[in-house]
Amino acid sequence: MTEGQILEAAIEIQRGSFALRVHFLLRSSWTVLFGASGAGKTTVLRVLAGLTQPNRGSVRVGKNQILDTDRKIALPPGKRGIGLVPQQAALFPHLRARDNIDFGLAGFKRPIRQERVQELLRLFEIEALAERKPRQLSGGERQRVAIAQALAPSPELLLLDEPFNALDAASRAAIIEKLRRIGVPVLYVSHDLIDAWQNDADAILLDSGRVVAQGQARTILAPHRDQILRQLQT
Amino acid sequence: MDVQTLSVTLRLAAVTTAILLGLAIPIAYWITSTRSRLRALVEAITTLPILLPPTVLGFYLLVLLGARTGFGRVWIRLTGHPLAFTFAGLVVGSVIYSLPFAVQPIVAGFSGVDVSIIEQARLLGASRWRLLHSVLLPLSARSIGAAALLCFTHTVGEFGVVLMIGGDIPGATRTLSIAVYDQVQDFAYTAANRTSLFLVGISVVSLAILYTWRGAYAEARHD
Repeated sequence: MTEGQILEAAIEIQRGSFALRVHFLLRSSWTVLFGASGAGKTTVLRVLAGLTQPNRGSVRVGKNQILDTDRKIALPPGKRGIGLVPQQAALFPHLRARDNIDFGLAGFKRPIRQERVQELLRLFEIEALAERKPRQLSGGERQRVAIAQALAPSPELLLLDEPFNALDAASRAAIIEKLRRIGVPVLYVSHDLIDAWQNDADAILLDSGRVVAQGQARTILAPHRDQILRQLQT
Repeated sequence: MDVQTLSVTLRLAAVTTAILLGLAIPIAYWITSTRSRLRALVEAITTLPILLPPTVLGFYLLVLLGARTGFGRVWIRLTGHPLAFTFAGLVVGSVIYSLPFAVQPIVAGFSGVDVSIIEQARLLGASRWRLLHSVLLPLSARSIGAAALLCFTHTVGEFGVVLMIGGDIPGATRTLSIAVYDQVQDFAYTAANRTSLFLVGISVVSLAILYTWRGAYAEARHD
């Protein structure tokens, strides 16, 4: 892997009639994994996170080889330095928002944990929600807590699996702006052309389990420009 | 009602329940998290006491605990007396007999925890131990409470295994269900009725608590 690459992944999966065979690099700190429903976007994220074992694959984050099926390397999810925020926030229902964010900080001393939790509560403007349990939060509030939770252990890469679907455009833009400000590299799944276009990101175009293009989003999505403009006007 | 017999019964139920929770939680955790082919066998073995006639279970335990087996001989060498016809022997029998009533509700509780929550705990670096004590146990508290209640009530009412292993020794192995049998044998129907009503009361109260929990849980889920 060359200097400046955030991640390199080669994944092969065969599950019944579904086949996924992809090879891609992340160079930009904000990359949109783009494709229609069923293209394999979520499967790619689950393999990167260590939640799904591929038939064959190799994943390197920075200089760390986190998966190499040929060499029987497969780090467990918690040791990959990767955070994942799924479509539906998977918060621990019995814990307060504060404790949910703290969950991934078990290895740190208490003052460091408290400081980190407070920092994330402030960043995502959820200090007032710190003592509430997930069922007392709205969908948008839950997603903010879920992102703060995933960011708490300072992952080297954050995977977002369409976590903003339930949010309005303003809330979505605010969260994306905060994430870009933090500077943590993000691989962001979307099937929304506008998302990919507006965020001036790199994009990986996935179709039926294959990478059909990767590079700057505006270049890759140029053939869809008219469709995007129509969507923006409506 | 004989206070000594009541005391033996409640002591047996409490000790059995405590031991069963200690055994059933790791067994249920293994069952719900393993991909081993042995899973079906372990599930079958832990469920077997439901189907076996209590006298059959009691007979084999009596043989196992006696001087004819290695285990029985070691026990006698260590303690100076056989395990059968003692309170400790009763506890061993009760633990085995009520094992399914502890394991099955806890397996159901652990299986009911949303997979995405378990995955999130793993993503956040939780060890197997932390996943158990910080996620599965708190989220399965009702199932564990139900298991404890079922074990306690089932042990209070057991008869066949207790009679086979413990006999009928006042103050040591005579429980309320054995007392009912003795009272009927003596034609002391009024006393038998009192003891039986007490046992019915324990069962009704336990079931009422179980269904109240279930109702409260269903309401909470709909909130």
